Amino acid sequence: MRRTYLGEFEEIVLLMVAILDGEAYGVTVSQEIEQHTGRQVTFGTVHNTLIRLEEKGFVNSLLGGATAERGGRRKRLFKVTALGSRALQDIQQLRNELWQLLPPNTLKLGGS
Amino acid sequence: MPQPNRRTAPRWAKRLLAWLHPSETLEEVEGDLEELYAYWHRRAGKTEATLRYLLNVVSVLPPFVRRRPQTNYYPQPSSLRPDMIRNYFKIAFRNLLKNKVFSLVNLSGLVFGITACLMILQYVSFELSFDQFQTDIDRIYRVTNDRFQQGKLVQHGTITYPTIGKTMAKDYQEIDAYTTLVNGGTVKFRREKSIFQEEQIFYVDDHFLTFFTFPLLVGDPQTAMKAPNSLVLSESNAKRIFGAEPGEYARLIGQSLYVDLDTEPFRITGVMKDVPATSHLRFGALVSYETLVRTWGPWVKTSWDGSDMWHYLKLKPTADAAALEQKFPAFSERYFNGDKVSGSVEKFALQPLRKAHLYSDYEYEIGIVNNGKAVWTMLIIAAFILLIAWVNYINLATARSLERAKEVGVRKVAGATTGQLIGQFLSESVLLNLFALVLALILTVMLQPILNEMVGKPLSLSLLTGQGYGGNLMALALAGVFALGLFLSGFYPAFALSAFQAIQVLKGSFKRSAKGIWVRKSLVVFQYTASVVLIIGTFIVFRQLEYMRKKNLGFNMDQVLVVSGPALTRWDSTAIDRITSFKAEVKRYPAIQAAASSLSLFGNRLSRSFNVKRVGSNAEKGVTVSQMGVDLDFFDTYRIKLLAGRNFITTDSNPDGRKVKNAVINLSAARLLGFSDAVSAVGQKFTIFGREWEIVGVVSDFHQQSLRHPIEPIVFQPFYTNGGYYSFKIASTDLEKTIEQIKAKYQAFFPGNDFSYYFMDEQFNRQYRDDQVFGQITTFFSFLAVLIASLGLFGLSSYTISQRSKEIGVRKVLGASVTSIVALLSKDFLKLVLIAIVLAAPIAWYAVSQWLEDFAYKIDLSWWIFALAGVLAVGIALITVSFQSIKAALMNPVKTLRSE
Repeated sequence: MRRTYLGEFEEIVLLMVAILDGEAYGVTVSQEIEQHTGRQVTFGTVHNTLIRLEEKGFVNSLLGGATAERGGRRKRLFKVTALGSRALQDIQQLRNELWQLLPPNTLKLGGS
Repeated sequence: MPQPNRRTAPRWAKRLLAWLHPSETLEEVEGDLEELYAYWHRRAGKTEATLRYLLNVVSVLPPFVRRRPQTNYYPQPSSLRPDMIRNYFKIAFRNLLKNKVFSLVNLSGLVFGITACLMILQYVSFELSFDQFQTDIDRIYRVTNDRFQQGKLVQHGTITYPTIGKTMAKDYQEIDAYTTLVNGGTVKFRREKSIFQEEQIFYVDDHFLTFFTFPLLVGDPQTAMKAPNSLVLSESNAKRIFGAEPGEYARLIGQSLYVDLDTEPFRITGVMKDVPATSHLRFGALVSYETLVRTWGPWVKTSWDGSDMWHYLKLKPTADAAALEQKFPAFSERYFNGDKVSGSVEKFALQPLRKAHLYSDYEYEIGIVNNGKAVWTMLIIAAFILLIAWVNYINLATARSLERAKEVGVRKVAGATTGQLIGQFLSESVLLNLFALVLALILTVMLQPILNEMVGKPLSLSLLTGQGYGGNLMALALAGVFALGLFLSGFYPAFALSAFQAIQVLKGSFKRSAKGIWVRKSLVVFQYTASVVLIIGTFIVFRQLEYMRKKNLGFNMDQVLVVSGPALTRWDSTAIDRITSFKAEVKRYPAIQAAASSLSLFGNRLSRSFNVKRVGSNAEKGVTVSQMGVDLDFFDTYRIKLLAGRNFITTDSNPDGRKVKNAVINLSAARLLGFSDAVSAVGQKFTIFGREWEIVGVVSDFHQQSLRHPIEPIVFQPFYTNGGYYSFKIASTDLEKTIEQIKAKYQAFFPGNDFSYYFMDEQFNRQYRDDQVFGQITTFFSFLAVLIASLGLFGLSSYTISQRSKEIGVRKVLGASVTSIVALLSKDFLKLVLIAIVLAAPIAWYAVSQWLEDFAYKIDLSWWIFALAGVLAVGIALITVSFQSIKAALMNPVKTLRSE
C-alpha cells in the first residue's frame, strides 16, 4: 500500500479540520492550533497548508457562510475527504503497531 | 459588540493585500484576516492586533503564499473555439435563409456594386496608365503651337514647323534630346505581289528610337532610322507580312518592302515590339524621316512656314519646364518676327507627356486622346457606387437587427461579452462581404468580353493588380479600400446589435430607440442624392447625344455608302476620266441615287491654309480657312444647299492640279473674307499662298466635324485623287446586293485594290464613341445606383413599418382608411427623398455644366430635366415604399393587436 506522505504540520492541520467537523476554515484552524499546541503560526502557513492538502486530495472545500464580522466575505470551509480520513487512520494504526513493538520500560528510562 | 467597524485593520494594509494577494483566494483570505484581527483586538488590544495583522498579511503575500490551482467555476470559452465558430456559421446561415428575399437583395446589392466598381476601375486604370511605360515620361514634353491672327486664336495645335525641335534643342541647353515625327497616315505594304492591309505609319527622325521606350527586337536603335527608305516593322507586322517566327527576325533585316505606290523599295532595318495599348502614339511601322526629303521635298527639314510636324523634347533632369516656356516668346520673336514669316503670330508651349492622352484639347492631334474629365467622373461614379452598396448593406443589416435582438439577448444571458458579440457580427459581415467580393470577381471576369466590346479597349483585371496605373501600389490601395469598406460596413450593424440590453429584449418590452434611426435616414438621403445626381447626369448625357445625332448638320448622310479610293492605282492624265466613268457606271444601277468623289469626308480634320487674302480688299492680314477637295457631284450627294453662284462643272477640274483655279466656298468662309452675303462673294477672287482663286459659288454651312467643334470656314476645290473616297447615295433596301454591284464595278475599274467600305453616318457618329460609352456607362450605373438605393429604402421601410404595426392596427380599429394609412407611412420616406433631390440638384447642375463645356453646340440645361429626375426619384421611392405600406395597411388589425 502506497502512502501519501503527510508532513507533521500537515497532519496537525488535517486533524484540526477533522476535529472542527464542518466548521473548519482559516480562522478556526489557526485558533485551534494555537490553543491546543500553543504554537504561534502565521496565517499564511495555515493557508498554504490547507491549499496543499486540498491539492493532495485530503480535504475538499466550498465557499460559504459570509458573516458581518468578515465584512460580508465568504469563508472557505474545509472537510476531510475519504482519502484524508484514511490517511489519518493509517498514521494512527502505524503508530499503534509501532507502540506495540516498543519493549517495556524503554521510554521510561530515556524519556522522563 | 461596540461598533465592529472600529475594529478593522489599517486600510493601507488591506489595500496591499488586495493588490498583491492572488485573486483566486482573495475573498476568503480577506475575510479570515478580518475575523482574526477582531479576535486579536479583543484579546490583546489594538496595537498588537495591528502588528499581528501586518505579519500575517505578509505571510499571505507572494512569494510566501501558495497559489490555488485554478478551477474555473464559470468557464469562458474563447470565441475562436470550433464549437462557437460552427455555431456562428450556423446562425449566420440560418439568418440568411430565414429571409431569402432580404438576403438576396442585400447580397446582390453588394455584388453589383463591387462588380461595377471593378469594371470602372479597370477602365480608369487603363486610361490613367497611358505612356507610363516610357521610362523618361516625366522629362518628356511635346511642343504645342498656338497661332494668332489679328489677336485671334486661329489654331490651337500640336503640329508645328519642321525646324522647331532642332532649333530649340540648339538654343536651350536645358533640352537633353528632341525628336521630330510626321504622321504618315495609313498605308498598304506590298511584297511580291501580295498587298497587306492598312497600317498606321509615322515618319520619325533618327533620335526617335532612343528618345522613346519602343524597344527593338532586332536592329540598332541608334542607326535604324538614319538612311532614307528605312523601315522598322512591329512584331505583329513582321509575323503577318513575312510569316516570321520570333527567332527569325534577324533574317528580315535588309529585306525590302514597298509602301503604297512608291516605286522605290524600303529596306527593313529593325523589328520592334508591338506598341503597348497604352501608348498615345500608335503605329505599326516607322519610316525614316529622311525618306520625306525625297517624297515631300527638302522643306521638311528647313521650312519656317509649312507645318506638319510634331516635336517632343526631353529636358535635363534638373531643368524646369515652366522656366523654359518663359523663354519661348523671345524664341518666336527671334525666328518668326511677329507674323512676318508664317502669316500668324506663333506661341509655343510645352505639354507634359503625362497630359498627352487625357488632358489634350489640341487640334491636329497625332495620338489617341480621351477626355480626362470623363475618366475622373467615372472614378467618382465608381466610388459612389461602392459607397452606395456598402451604405445599403449597413442599412439593411441594421434594419434586420431587430429580428436578431432575441438572439443577442440569449447570447448575453449565456455569458457573451459585448466584444464577443461585436466580433461575431463583424465577422459575419466580413464573410458576407468577402463572399460578395468573390462573386463580383467571377462576374467581372465573365462580363469582361462584353465590357471590352462596349468600351472598345483591352481591359482586364490585371490592370488592377500591377499592370495598370500605379502598378502594385494600385493593387495594394484597392485591397486596402476593400478591407476598410468591409470592416466599416460591418461596424455599425455590429455595434448596434451588440448594444441591445438583454433584460429589455427578453422581457419583451424592447422598443427601438430613436437614436439609430437618424443614421439610417441620413444614409438613405445620401443614397438618393447620389442616385438623383446620376439620373440627372444620364438625362443630360443622353439628351446631348440625341441632340448631336438629330441636329441638322447642314448635310444629309443617310444611306450614304463610302468606298475608299483606289490608293494603289497610279495617277495619270486619264485618272479623272476613269473616275468619272466609274461613277457613271455605278450610277446606272437604279439603287444608286448619286455618286461623288472627294479627297476628305465629314469627320476628318481638314488641312488649313493661313494667310488667305481677298483680292481687292485693303486688309493687310490674311485669314485662315480649311480646304476640302470635292467633285461636282459632292454637294448634291450630301444635299448641301447652294446659296449663290453655281456648282462645279467638268471644266473646273484638270488632271494637272496647277491649272485648277475655280473654287466654291461656304458661307462662313465668305463672311471671313469680308463679304456681307453669299451673292456678293460670287465672282470675287482670293489668294492662297499667292495663288489666285475665283469664287464660282457659295454653299451653306455644315458641321464638318462633330459638334464639339465649331463650324469651319471651308474652301472647296475641284480636285480629284485616287486615294480619296467615293460616296454613293443608296435608295435600295437590298444593301448587300447593291454593295456587291459596286464592288464588281470597282474591281473592274481599279484592279489590284482592296474594296473597303463603310456608311457615312456610322463613321460620323463614331466621333461620339467615347461620349456614347460614357452615356452607356452612366446609364448603367445610374440604374444600378437607383436599384441599390431602392433596396435600401425597401429595407428601411419594411423595418419601420413592422415597428408601427400596432399603431396601424389601432388606427384601423378607430376607422382609418387604407389610403390614409399608406399616405401616413409613405410621408416620412418622401420627406427623405425630397431632401435628397434638393441636395442633388446643385451638384448635378455643376457636374453636367462641366461636361457640356466641351461641346461647341449643346443643349440648354432646362429646369424640367431636373424636375423630371426628381419626379422619377419620388416615383421610384413611392413604389418601393408602397410595397410595404400597402401590405401593412391591408393587414387585419386583429392580428397585430392580439399579440400583446
